[in-house]
Amino acid sequence: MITRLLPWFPRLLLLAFLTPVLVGLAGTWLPAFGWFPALEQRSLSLAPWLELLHYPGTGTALRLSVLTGLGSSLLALGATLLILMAFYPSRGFRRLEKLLAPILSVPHAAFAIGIGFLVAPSGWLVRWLAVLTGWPEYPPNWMTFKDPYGLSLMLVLALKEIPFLLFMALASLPALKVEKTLWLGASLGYRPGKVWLTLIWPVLYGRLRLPFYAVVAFSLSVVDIALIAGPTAPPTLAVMATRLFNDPDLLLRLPGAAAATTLLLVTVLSLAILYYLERPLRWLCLRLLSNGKRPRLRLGLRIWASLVLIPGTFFYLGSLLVLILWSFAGQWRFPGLWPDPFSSRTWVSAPERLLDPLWLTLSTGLSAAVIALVLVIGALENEVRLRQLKPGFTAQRLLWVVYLPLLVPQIAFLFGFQVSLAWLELGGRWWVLVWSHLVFVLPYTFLTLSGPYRAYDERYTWVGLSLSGHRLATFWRIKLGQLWRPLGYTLATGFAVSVAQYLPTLFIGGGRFATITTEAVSLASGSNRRSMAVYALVQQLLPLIGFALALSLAAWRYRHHRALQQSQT
Amino acid sequence: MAFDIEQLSLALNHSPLFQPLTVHLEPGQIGTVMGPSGSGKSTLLAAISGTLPPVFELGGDIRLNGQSLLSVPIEHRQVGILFQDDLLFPHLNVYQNLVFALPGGLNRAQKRERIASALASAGLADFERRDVATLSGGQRARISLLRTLLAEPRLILLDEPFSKLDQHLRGQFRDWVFSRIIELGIPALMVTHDPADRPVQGRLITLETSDA
Repeated sequence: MITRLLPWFPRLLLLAFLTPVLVGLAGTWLPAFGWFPALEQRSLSLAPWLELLHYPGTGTALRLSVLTGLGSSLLALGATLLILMAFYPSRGFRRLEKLLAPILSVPHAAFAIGIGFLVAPSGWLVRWLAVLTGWPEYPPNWMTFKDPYGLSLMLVLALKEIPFLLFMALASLPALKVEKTLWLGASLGYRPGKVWLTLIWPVLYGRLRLPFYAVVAFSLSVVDIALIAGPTAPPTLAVMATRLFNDPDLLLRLPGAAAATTLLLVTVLSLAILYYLERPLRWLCLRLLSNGKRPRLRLGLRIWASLVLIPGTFFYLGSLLVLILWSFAGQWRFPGLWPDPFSSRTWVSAPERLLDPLWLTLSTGLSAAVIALVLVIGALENEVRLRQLKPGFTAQRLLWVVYLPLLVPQIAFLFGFQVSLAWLELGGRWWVLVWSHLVFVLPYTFLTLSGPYRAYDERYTWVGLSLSGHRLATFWRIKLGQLWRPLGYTLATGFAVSVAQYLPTLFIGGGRFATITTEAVSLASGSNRRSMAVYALVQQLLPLIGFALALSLAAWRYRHHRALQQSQT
Repeated sequence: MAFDIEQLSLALNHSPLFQPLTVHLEPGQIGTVMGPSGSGKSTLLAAISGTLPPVFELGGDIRLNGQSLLSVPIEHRQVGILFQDDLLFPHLNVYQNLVFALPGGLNRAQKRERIASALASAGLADFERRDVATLSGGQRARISLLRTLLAEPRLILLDEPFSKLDQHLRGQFRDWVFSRIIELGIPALMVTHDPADRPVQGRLITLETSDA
C-alpha cells in the first residue's frame, strides 16, 4: 500500500516548493510590466521600470546590492578555501567541525544585531578602546555600522556564510581523499598550497558550486540583515523593493515589482558570469599544474587562515556575549564596559510580549520541519524503489531543482505569491504561512538528509524483511532506527531554517503574523537595545535548543551502541 | 522441505548470464555454487531471495516444497540470507537483534527461553545485553546465523559467508554452520570462490557461462 504511494512523494515535494516559486515569479513579473488588475492597472507597459529608474537612489541601491552580495560571497568562498588549505585534515579542524552545527544555527538577524552591538560607534569595541586609551570620551561620529558603503553588511554576510560553505565542503571532502592527494603531491615535490589549488580545489568547487550559488543569490537579495546592518539612504535594492511593496501609496508596488525582477536578473546574470568564468579559471589551474614549478616559498597558510578564524571566532563569541550583557542591562552609559546596574527587568517583562510570537514561531517551525521530513523521507524512499527497479539510478540531476528556491531571490517571487494568495482569498492563513516556510525548509531538509539516507546499506532492509516478514516493522525498527542521528539533525535544521524566515512571514502574513524573527528585525530599527537583545537571544536560542535536543536524543538512544556513537550526520 | 530450481535462466539485455540451471536440494542438503567472477552467482541468489532488479529477464521456476517463489515478495518467502558481512543491526543489542527474527505469537517468557537456548547452543550464553559492536568477528558471525535460524526459514542462502573470517576461525565456523543446517533439515545454497568451503557431502553446482 505504502509502496504504491511512494511515487507521489517526489511529485508532492516538487509541487510544494515549486508552485509558490513559479506562481510567485509570474505574479511579480506582471505588475513589473504594468498589469495589476487589483489596482485597476490593466495595460502592459514599461512604465514601472521607468518609474524605478527615476526613483531616488535606485542606481546606488543596485550598486550596493551587487557590491555587498558578490563581495561577501567571494570573501566567504576565499576564506573557506584558505581555512581548508591551512587546516584540513588536522585535529584542530576536527574540533572546528564540531563547532559548525551551533555556529550554523545562529540566525542571520540575531547575529547581525549582535555584530551591531559590537562595532557600532557606541559598541563594545569602542568602549574597550575608550577604557584602555582614555579616548574617545563620547561615542564618535563614525560610520562603523550601517555604513553607506555596505562594509558592515558585507562583514556580517561573509562571516555568516563561511560556516555554511565549510559545512557543505565537509560533505564532499572525504570522497576527494585529500590526505592521500597531499601525500602524493608531496612525494612529487609539491607544497600543499599548490596541490590544493591545482588538484583538490577544482574538483571540490564542482561540488560546492550549487551551495556557493545559493550564497550568492541570498547575499544579493537578503532583506532582514540588510535592514539591520546595511546602509539606509539609499538601502540595498532588496530593502528598497520591500519598502516599495509596503508603501501606503499602493501604486508603488509596480516599481517595487520591477525592482524585485531587477534583482532576479542581476542574480541570474551574476550566476551566469560565475559559471562561464569557471572554464578559464580551470584552464589556468591546469596550466599552473603542468608548469612543473615547485616553489620553495612557504605561503604561511596557517597564519593567513588564522587571520580569518580568530576575528571570526571573536565576532561570534563577542556578539553573543554583548547580546547577553545588553539583555541584562539596567543602565549602560558610554564608555562603561559593563552595564551598571545589571537588571533582569527586560527578561522579567519579556514573557508577556514574547509568548504569542514564540508560540507562532514554534508551531510554524515544528510543523514545517515535520512535514518537510516526511515528504523528503518519502521522496528518498522512492529513490530506493527506483534504484531497485533500475540499478545505477541516481537523482543527481534533480539537485538543481531542489536548489531552485535557494537560487531565486525571495523578494522576486514572494510578492507575486502574496498577490496570488490574496486573489484566491487565502491570504493570512496559518497553513499558508507554514507552506511559505516549507518552500525554504524543504530544500535544506533534502540536502541535509539525502547524504546519510542514501549511504544506508539497503542489505539491512533485505535482512530485516527476510527475518520479520513485515515491511513497516523493518522500515521503522531497522532503517529509521539506525538513522536517528541524521533524522534528528535534519528536523533541527528544518526548524532552524523556519525560525530564521523573515520575508515569507512578512509577505504571507501581511502583517498579521509576528514571529520572534519579524519582531527582532522590527525592533532592530528602533532604539530599545535591551528588548532587541532579548529577542535576538531568544531567536538564537530556539535553533540551538533544537540541535541540542536532536543530538542529545540520538546520543541517549545510542548510548549502549558503540558503532553509532561517533557517527556523523 | 525440498528446494528446486527448474531450468532457471537469467539474462540482462537479452544476454544470458549462464546456461539454464536445474537444481534439486533435499532438506538439510547444501548446494555449493561455484563459477568465475561475473558468472551470475550473486544474481542467482538475488533471484531466489526476491531482490532481483526487474531489469533482469528471468525464465524457468524456483520452487520451495512445490510452491513457486517467483511471485512471492521477499518478506513472505521465508528465505534466510547470510552475507559475507554479518549485517547485525548496530542500534540493537544481541537480544534485540535475535528477538527481531522470532515469529509472532510468542509471549515474553517464550522469547527469552528461545533466545537463551539459541545463545547457549552457540557457546554465547549471557551475551543477551551485549552491544554488537563489542563482539569479535567469530561471535558476530555466530549471532548472525542464530538470527537467521530463529526466523525459521524454509531455505538458507549463503553469500560467501566465510570470506571475511580469519583462517583459524573459518573452518571452525564453517563446520558449525553446516552442522546446524543439516540438524534443522533446511536446504541451503551457498555461493563461494573457495573450493575449501564446499561441504564434503554437499552438491557442487557449477554455473556455466552461456558461451561455454
